[in-house]
Amino acid sequence: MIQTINLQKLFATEEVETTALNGINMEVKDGEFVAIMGPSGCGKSTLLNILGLLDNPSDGEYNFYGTEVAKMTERQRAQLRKGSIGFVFQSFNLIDELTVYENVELPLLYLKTPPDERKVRVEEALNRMNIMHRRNHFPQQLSGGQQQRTAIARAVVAKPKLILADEPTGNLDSKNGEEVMKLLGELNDEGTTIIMVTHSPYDAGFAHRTVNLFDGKVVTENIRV
Amino acid sequence: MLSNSLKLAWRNLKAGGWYSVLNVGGLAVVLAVSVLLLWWVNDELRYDKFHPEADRIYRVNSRHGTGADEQFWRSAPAPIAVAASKNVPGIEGVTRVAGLYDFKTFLIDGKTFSEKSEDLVYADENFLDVLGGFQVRYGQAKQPFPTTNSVVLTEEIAEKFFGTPNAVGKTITVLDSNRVFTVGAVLANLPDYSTFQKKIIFPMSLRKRLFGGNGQWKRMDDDWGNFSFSTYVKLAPGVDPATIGKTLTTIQAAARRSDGDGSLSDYRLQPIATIHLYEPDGTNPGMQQVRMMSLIALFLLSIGCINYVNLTTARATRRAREVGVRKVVGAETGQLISQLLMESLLTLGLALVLAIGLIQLLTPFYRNMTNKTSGLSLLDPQVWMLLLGTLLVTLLLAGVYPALVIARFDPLKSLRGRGAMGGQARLRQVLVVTQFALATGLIISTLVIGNQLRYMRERDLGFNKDHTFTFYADSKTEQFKRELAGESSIQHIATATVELTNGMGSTSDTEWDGKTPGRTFMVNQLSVSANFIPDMGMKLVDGQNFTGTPADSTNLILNETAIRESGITNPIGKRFNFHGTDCRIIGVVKDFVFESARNKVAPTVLMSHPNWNGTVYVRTSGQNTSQAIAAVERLWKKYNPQYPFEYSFLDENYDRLYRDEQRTGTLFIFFAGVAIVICCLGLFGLAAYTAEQRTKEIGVRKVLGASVPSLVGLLSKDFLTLVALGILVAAPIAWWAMSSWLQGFIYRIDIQWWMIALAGALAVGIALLTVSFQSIKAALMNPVESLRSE
Repeated sequence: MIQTINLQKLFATEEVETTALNGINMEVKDGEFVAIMGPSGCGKSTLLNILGLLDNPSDGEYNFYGTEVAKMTERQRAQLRKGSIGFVFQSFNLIDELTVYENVELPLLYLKTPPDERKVRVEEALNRMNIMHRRNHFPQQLSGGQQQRTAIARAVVAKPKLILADEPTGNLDSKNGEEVMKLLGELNDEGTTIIMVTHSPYDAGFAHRTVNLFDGKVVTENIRV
Repeated sequence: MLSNSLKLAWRNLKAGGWYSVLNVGGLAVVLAVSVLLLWWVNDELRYDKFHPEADRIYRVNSRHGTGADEQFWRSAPAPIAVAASKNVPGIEGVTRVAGLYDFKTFLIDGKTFSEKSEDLVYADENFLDVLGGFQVRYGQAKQPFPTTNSVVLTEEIAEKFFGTPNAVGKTITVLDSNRVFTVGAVLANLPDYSTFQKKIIFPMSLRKRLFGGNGQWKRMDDDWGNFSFSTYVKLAPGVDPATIGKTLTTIQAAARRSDGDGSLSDYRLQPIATIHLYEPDGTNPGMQQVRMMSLIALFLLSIGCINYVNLTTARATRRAREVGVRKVVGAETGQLISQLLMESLLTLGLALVLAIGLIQLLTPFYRNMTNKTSGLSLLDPQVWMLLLGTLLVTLLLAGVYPALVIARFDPLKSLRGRGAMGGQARLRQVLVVTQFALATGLIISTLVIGNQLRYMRERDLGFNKDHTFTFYADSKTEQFKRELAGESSIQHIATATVELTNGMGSTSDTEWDGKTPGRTFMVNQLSVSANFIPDMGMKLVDGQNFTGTPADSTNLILNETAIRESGITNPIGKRFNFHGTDCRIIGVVKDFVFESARNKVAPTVLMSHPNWNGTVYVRTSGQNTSQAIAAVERLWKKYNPQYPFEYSFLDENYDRLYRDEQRTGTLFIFFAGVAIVICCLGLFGLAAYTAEQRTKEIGVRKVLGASVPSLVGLLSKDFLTLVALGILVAAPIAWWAMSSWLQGFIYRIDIQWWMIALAGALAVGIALLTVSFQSIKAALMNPVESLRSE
């Protein structure tokens, strides 16, 4: 379970100070699928980055599966992040110089998974995302949908407890978007916790619960019935 | 993980396109040239260290005179070695080497071979044993000369004379003296890094036997005044060389009391491993050159590394997203650092392979420029140590920093693709300034060295060296003079003891009225024909020339320096006792140059003794030199049918005096050129990167009405500021360094302000050319394209 208490995030430049998050209290239970919505600049991505241990809050508490992480260093966060969180981005963020197979294999390399097991798990993920036939292609040779399926395969290959998705369908047409959302739904059905930032009410419909942000605060929560 | 890193490194290198070409190519050139330079430095530094007990072997140098008359010689008289081996505790062995100038032509199985006197030498019977380290191929090291008529050859000469290296027992006839010698031993060819470079070695016992007569009335081992023996001593472990020097001085002083000549001040022992780079007086033009070349190698490596760091960190922005992704999926900083280092290693490895190829290509050029017979051999483990060492240093200098910077990118910022590289722009500026400071420094140095070399070549020699060739005719000079007199292609024929640059003899056997008692006054001595001074274009500043009559036997002409340093006033007609004979000064000749510009013109006494004038000087008009040579050669065949005709041009011999400096100059110009090209490669890459980074800005400015020239100016300005800063940094340092280099020359130029200005202008010009190419390209771009690219 993850929980935040009065989470604050300030961005300061020399001249202006911007409050991105202003006292977020939030709880996500194991196996939940939560969508975060709100207008541009409301702090969705900032929240996701903090939840994904990519960034620290300026103030407040963040309990990640029983560990208080709000004051951790980048190094400590990286250790905790490894293997327990998978990321899916709007712009896919695949590495252009690596093939589909190598992109998916990357998290396992950093986890030092033995080669035999690595092969089994990468192929499993590729099959699962129906991208096996493209395993030796480079990202720029793939369609947007295929790239995002590769990115999801990479996010799940290490079997993380939590997947964070930042507008996963934002760069896709509706058909591919639908496909990606179904995959995320299936993963959630199998027990993976998913937190997704989205602009699309349709995509949010796949989640159990939608948290609405405005100016860095949670304004409403809708629970799907 | 390793193979993954390598694979990725390779793909990144390929994806880098011409950035990679610049990076790898630039590094390859830098590595190749630096390795060649360092190899040369290594070669210079290992001179004479191959003698197994080099740390205990010393050359006995002698110091003569004091104050302005002080001179250091590399040699000692023959008897000091005898005394040292008998009476001085702490000396384990003494051996002597002496020049041999009388033998030149050898008859072997009916064939005649002519060898240069610089390849011939007399050596004591124990020289292989005392010095050690020479490999004896055939014969015995302990007894290389079984008899006085034995000779030792190197393999090369044995091969040349007999067609086989195993020549022990075979015989050689020396035509010049009509003696027959038997080969006693054959040595492996001497390594380049041996100061002792002789090919035909005769026993000292022969020198002893031939000593005397012709004015040399003493026996060799009794002549304390003849300082023509290079003497080496091997000390017992722990013995202080300074003490031995003092003991030898005391022995010499005691012997001199009965001998009458008081010129020696003292003996000093110089370690054999330093004789190549250090002069007996402690100056070190050789070592200076070694330091200079090491510095250039370091400069080149730095410039190459700076390029690498600049291009890599500049391009790193492009890789920020990749680094961000890797961090997000679990990469630790350490893992990223090792991956990035692996990439650098691959780039450097590739550069090294290319560099090895380049080295092979450059080897003939290297040999030619450095006058070494061997280049780099890839079979030599030392070469590999040097190559890998250089690679490692480059990796540390150029690879580690970018890896640390890139691996520490903030993953969030780098995923957003901005701000990840903020601090590195300043560093790149500092590096560009450094690079151009180095390049400008090299240009300034090149200009100064070039001008000093020209000055040395073109300075007034005090006589005319043009269109003149010389040859040694021994006692037949008068016949040559007579018979060639009618030859139309010849303007003048004169004779003298030696060819001027060949080193005239010197003596302290001088006396004049008013000379301070006990003062040693060393002078050079040269006998010339009566027409020598006018025909060779020398000028008399006082008195008259030789008369060409028997009266000349007591006539002397001194050069200006001799007059000045001896302190003789109103010299004409004054008495000057020379070699024990009372003579008269009849003229003063303007100083003429016969040594390198590093040495001051020495006091010189000219006399005119026809019997001593064995060298003929032939001056032609310059148009029909070959005709003149042919005429002389015809005559030569008539008088010396057995001997080949050998001659040399005076101007070429003069150039040889500056061979070392000329070589330094050529090397400097070459390396400065390479350094500048490499600097420009880096600047070119950086300019391209900057233009690329500012594509959007350029687009916006164009849309708003900016002209192409204003954009080119905008893009070039920043770089030119850096280059100008580099020049400001370099100018005073280069000025200082070159001033101290010039101090090594007695005759030198002053550094002029225009040299600095020209170097600066060159640096700016080159940088402007490099940068403006990219700037113009960027400025000409269609703004629609530039805006779309964002």
